[in-house]
Amino acid sequence: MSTSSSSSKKIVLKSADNETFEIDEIVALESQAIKNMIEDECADNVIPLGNIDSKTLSKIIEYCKKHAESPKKDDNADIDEKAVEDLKSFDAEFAKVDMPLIQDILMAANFLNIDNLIGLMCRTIADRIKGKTPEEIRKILNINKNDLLSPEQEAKAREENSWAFD
Amino acid sequence: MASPQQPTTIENLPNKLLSNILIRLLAKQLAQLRCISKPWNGLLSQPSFIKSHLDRSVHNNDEILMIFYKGFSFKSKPFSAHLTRSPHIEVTSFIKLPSIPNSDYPLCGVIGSVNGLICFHNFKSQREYVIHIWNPSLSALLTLPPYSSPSRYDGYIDIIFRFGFDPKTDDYKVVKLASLSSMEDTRFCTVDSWLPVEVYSMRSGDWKIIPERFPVFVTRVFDLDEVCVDGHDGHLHWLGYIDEEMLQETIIAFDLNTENFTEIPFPDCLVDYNNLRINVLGVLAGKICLISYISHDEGNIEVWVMDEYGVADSWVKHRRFSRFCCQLSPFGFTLKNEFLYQPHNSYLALYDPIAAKVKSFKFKTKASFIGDVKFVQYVDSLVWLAPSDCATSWCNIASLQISKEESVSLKDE
Repeated sequence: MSTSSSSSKKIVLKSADNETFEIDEIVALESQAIKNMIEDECADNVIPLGNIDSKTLSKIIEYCKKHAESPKKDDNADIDEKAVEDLKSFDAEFAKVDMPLIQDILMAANFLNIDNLIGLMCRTIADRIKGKTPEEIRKILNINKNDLLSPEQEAKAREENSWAFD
Repeated sequence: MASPQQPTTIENLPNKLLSNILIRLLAKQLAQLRCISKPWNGLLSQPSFIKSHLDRSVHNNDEILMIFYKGFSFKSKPFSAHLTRSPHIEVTSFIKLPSIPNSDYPLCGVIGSVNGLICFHNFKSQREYVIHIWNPSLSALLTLPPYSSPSRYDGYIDIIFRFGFDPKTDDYKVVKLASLSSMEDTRFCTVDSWLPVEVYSMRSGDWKIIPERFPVFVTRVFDLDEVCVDGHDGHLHWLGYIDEEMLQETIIAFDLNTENFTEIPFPDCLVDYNNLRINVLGVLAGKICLISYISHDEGNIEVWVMDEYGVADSWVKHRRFSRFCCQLSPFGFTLKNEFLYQPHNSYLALYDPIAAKVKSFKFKTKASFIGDVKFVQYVDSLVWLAPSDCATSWCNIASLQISKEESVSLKDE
């Protein structure tokens, strides 16, 4: 399960801003979407990812590398707890980025179909808005003004859920 | 998506991802977040989201068991709440108690609980009740309009209420059975006649008398379901007798969708003319079951499950707890299929048949009569149906008044 073995098969990913990333196949397999492409033999040269920029893609590769290295839960029933703890603290550190990047990673993870990463990003966003007021959340998530309810609609939504505001 | 011109924003996220984020928050906050934006309002009001949130709460909950006695009051400590891992928790630390309108009559009793809603009544007088539906996680309370009161009858009237959910119409209903008896203490005598059945629908917001009458051959029903597991999937069930001596038992089912009664045949081998056998009606993994034991038979308990709903031949002996413990009161199986019971002179306990483990609550119920206590598993839930008069759609929002200051402050954000 080495990541730097020169003999292992390589996959090349190309970001929206035309940066290329050469990674071991085992790392790429963390993405269910790429795994399907490899299995269908449509991944011979470079995989273009026209909707993921290089900043987001390098974060995703960092995540996949770490998770590909770690023993999988279903591999072995008694994997040592240290490895589990190690991965947990990696995930916690990994998620310490600003909200726009988290949302970019989430969208990209969804496109690439990386289940654990989708879960981690959703949990991170949920933790950051937990217990916050609607006004605070609009700022944290930078909610588009065009999507706001009209003042009348908002008043009605508040009225209908008035018991939740006391 | 991530292109230099247009950064990802929460609005671009597919509903599947937004739902994956929001499902992790508590119901009370989610209700507040309906006013955040149009997409959030839409998602958070979708029945499918409310259902997914509920399913997640049921599976990830802290196993908080709320214990209500008959005649509790919200003015004093209404109930105790217990965790299997720590002995006792302060209820007000996680929910706000409702203030009941008309609190001249503070004594309450829980009728049932489904999907995080708790239905209870307070006694207005000896045989008159005011009914409420409460969502403790949202602190929402709905007081039902009065049901039709019988004017005058020859005999003593006995009223039984039950609360259930009809998944076909996504509606919550309260069913009222009323009967007349010749003795004042109706607990121990047979019924002379059954009065018309009334049903309250949370969606329509009113009571109506249904055309179907309660089956006349039933001489008495018992209003148990102490663990509040009945009524989750469109049916309510009562254990009753069909003879004057109250020896021959049967099960009466009510379909909350079609509003019809049917009789569910009792397993032959549990019929006991010597009246020594005690049968408790319950639900195990979504199927109706009977927990059956012979009093003073040192903890031998049989559990019978009706494999195919309504089919007499499908009763199977699911398991037998032999010498499970000394004499005990079995209350039933919980929503997580754990067996709730209290051994004689000991603590309330949950038995997990799969792990074969007993969890003790370090707490004894004080129930002296069968039916004195209700166990409600606390479930964080967004489920709420606004009464029909305020369940208006977006089309008539223009009639709503809004203060100037508030609309200004909204635009400023």
